[in-house]
Amino acid sequence: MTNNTQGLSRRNILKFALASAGISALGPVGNLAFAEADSRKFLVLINLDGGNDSLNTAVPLNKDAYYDRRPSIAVTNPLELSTGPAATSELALHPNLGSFQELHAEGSLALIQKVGYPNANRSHFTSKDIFHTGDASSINANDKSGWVARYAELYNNQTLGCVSIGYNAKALQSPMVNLMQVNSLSSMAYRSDGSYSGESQRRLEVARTILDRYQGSGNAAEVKKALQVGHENIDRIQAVINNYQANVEYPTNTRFSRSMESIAQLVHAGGLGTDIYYTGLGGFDTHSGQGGRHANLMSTLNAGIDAFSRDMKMLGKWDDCVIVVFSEFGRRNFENGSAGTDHGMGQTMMVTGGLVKGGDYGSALSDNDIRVEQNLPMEVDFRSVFGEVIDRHLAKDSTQVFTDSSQISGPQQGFL
Amino acid sequence: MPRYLDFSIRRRARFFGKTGVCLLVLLVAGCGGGGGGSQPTGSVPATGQALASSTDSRSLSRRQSFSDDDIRHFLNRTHFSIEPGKVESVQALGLELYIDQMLEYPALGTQPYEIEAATLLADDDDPVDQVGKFPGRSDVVNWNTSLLMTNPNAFQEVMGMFWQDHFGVNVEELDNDEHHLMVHFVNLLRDRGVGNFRNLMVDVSRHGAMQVFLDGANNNKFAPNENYAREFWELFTLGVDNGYTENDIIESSRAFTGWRRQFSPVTGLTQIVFDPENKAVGSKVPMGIPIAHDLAEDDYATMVDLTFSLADENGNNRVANFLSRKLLVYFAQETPDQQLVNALAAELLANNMNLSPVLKKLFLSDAFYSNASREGLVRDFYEQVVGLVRTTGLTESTWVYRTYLSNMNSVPSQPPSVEGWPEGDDKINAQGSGIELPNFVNELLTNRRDQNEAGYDIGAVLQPESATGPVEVVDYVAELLGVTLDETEKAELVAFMNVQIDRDGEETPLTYTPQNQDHQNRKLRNLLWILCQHPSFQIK
Repeated sequence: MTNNTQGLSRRNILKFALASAGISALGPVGNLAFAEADSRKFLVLINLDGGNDSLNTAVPLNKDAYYDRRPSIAVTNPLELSTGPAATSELALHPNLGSFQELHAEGSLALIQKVGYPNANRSHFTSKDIFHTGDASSINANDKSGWVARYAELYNNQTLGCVSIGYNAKALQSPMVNLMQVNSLSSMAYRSDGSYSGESQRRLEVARTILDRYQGSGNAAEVKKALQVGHENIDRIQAVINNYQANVEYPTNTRFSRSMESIAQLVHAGGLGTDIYYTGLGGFDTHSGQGGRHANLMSTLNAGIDAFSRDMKMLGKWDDCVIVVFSEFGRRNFENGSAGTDHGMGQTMMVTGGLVKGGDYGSALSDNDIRVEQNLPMEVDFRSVFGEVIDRHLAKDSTQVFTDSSQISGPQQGFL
Repeated sequence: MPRYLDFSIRRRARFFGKTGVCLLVLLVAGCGGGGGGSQPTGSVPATGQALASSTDSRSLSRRQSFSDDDIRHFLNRTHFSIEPGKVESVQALGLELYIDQMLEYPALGTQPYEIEAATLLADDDDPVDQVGKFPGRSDVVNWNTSLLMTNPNAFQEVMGMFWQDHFGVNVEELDNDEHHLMVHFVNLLRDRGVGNFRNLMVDVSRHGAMQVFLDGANNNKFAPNENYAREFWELFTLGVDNGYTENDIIESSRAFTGWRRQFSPVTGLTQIVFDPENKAVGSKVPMGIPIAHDLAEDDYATMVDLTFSLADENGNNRVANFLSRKLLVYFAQETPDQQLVNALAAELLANNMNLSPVLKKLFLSDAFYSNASREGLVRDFYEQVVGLVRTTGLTESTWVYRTYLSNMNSVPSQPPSVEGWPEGDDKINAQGSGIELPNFVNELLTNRRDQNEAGYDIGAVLQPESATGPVEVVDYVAELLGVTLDETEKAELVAFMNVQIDRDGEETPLTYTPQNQDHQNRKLRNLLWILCQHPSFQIK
């Protein structure tokens, strides 16, 4: 028997290849044992990138100022939230958010009003940095750790402890952790050279051997870390994909829905030990022609949440799940001359999940809040919203994650 | 063709073919060569910092001599990749003369590779006098990608992508009848990349693609939107919160009015035109500086000059410092010392914001070759793809290029946000688990039939003529790809080259012979695949 360069027998090579290569052309990976089929609680973060117009998402009812200041873009036919245990006459939803309306009627959609942070910054990039790091002084977040990364370091420091799919999130970045961030799960497979499949196996082994031994520094070391995440998990991910049997049909026409299905695939597989899934969708910077654009975005959001929530219910995981929908800021109270809205401050965050206590949280919007002010007020710190989920759903200590003392003071809202 | 552009595109198989159409020459009206237009009219305060520095990493003093390693560093940072024979040809010419030629662009649209690329914009149904004016978004991406891969002067395209990254305009935000504006915009950035920044800023501000992208074309004089006004300062000239207030943005948004769409039913195209009726009435006072109302023209040039005259509390010109830092981060160091930023800003000011002499100064400086500048910068995925094609001559179809670039959100003409492509750690994480690169390389390696039909000879491109065994081949390919190997890694790769693995995993000892085509297909191609997985391949 010929030995390879690592001194492994041919039999071992094949075993190694099957156990780790994940090359689809080499045949199925087989039924790998999944992580514990547990009742692990998990959080799904959905980042609406660009600054979502929350006034047209959670629409204030009976506020003349809303219509006066938005003569061409106000939502005139919102979905009422008048049934169920959390019925309200204060707020309604964008007409394309039908699944959110159903969740509200079930009593599992919380609308948290006037969310922000002290001294709001209306730069997309600064405000996103603040939301990603949980640090309101994050003008340049490159040297600051993301809050999800801090959570992982404290409570779940493995590459799948927290993951992002389809959204590049600074929140997961820190030199102290190495978390999986992928554009898509479906592409997590190495292609091989059909004419030389044996060589394809070996090239992967050699590449991995070299990668493991590599002693680079600086950015090269960071690249090594990112590549190792792929190598570490590709076989498990491949097995997840191969074993996935969909409960519901996810729309295939948007990246967001595909990302939500990817998250569902991981949950189906037992979670692989993941506490936090991060994803998002872009296009919310609606300075002009907002009506149709925002409506389409609401449809995209709604379709993904609709499929995912039904999927989780059928899987019996809905009670283990909390979803938080947020943006880097809200938009102005008034429309501009381009039938759009410019960057604002406060926003309404949406939280849903099987054990979420539906309802309106935070003080109700007044007519003056909309008529007199340019931006929605900020009375609830976004970190207290995330913090409540960490404390009460994930059962960890959020004060270790959010250490910035410059937060809007106030108790947690009690939606969990 | 100048001597330095010696890596003949004839050696490479190209598969950009589309339906046969008339050749299209794309010209940017009113754009000259690299210098571009008149001098700035605003007063520009000098930087307050001294030029000289006591340490190499902060000094723009001219480096005395340039080793082969220096040339490789220069090419890695300015050329997507190192092409075979390039180091030798630069050395033969001398780096300074090479840079002079590199910074001198030919007239736009006149070069064979541009004419070939332009066919990708055309369609059989185009009217005879408007060939190439109605490209789809994919066509624009294919055209732009082709330019990156085929321009013999790679630096022109690198600089064009620097500006695409800077301005962030994404063709996806333009409608079908506006795609021609994106083509014009990309050409503007390619043509004027090393010209005058003040003039470029004025022309970009007025450009139809920018006006559509950041909503200037939708503006209203009574209640203008703030999109362009905010990003003009935040991303294009000053940096976040650098000397302006929210009230200043409101005032400047009034100044950035007066343009609107004009669709021509004759041509079927939309242009963006100045219409005094669309300009906000009355004076504007951004930054406390009044701009008198004048219906005869827009306030865009005034806004640019006003901005370019701003100094910080230390007397440093804000725009010069902002752009200098950005140039240094892009080409030299991830976190440049403020003294070096100031020194480069002073050069910009001394040259009235003309980039060509400033870039030459930088590329010949001690700072550019210092240890601090040799700390690796992360290559974008599109740089990896383009660099591989340029270096190896291996090609694939436009569809394959676009698919992989799209999967990685790293598409020419489609920056993922107005902030451009991710930087630093963001870029590493955006490139994620690294599955797309090996799969793309696999596509290149397995496209043998097309490559054979085109007469491509991988052995001639990726092996030195004198090679007798795998050691020289491993060294040669690693150096071409900019991959640094230690002795253990080399031994691992040489061992790989000297064993044949059959489909069932059976191993047979092999004596790798560079001239043997089966060995090339079996081993040399896969050596390339392995080296592309090396972390240093993603670093420049």
